[in-house]
Amino acid sequence: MTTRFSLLLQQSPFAGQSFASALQFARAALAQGYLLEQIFLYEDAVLAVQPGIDLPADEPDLAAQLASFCQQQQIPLLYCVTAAEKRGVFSDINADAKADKSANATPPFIAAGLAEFAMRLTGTKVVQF
Amino acid sequence: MQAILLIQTASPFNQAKAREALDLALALAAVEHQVSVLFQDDAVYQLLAPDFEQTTAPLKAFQKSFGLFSLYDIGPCLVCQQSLASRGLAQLSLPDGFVRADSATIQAAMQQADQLIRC
Repeated sequence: MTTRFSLLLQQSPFAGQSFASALQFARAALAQGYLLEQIFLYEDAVLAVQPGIDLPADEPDLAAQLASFCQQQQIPLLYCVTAAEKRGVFSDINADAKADKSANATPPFIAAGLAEFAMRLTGTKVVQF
Repeated sequence: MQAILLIQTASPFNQAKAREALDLALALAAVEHQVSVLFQDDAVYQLLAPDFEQTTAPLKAFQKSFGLFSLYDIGPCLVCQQSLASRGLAQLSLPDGFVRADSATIQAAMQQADQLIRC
């Protein structure tokens, strides 16, 4: 049976290399014929969901790269709503965010709970970044 | 269902790592995974729960939730003996259900787990 991976990201997208490493791993895994069941953003990694991130032109926008990779490859890119709300990162189930569409998390970020991560975990191998 | 060993490494108020690791442990156990926990490195400081009832400490005493572990069938709860000793905490009295673990015990716990998640 083909190995399926769950990737768990916990660091801020611009304060470490975890997003870059996760992207490299994800591309390599797909290239080798493995499957990615989910990429889950937890702890400071939920900062990637915040719309309106404006990085200097010479810095790679790893959050955007991960988002477009997941969209192209149709990989569920989930983030922990609780962790996001604690950091003031708006999620699309947040009533205030609904009123202001520009504050919504842009697809393909999917608002989820830790329970969803835990359920998708079954039968996969977890790799942390 | 999978056997998951959650490895706590952060001290209690070092960013939000300890609290978010606790949330993760409870969530994993709530969806029927067999979760065990290891407190290693600075995470052993989490077990030095200050008496929040007696003080006016402004931080959440999240350690109270360790009491939920048995309710969620989380266990064993291992505490790295070496980490305690190197921090002068060898004599620390541990919460109910927590046990000291030497390196052989820790190694065995890691081998028995399907997944290791380090927080």
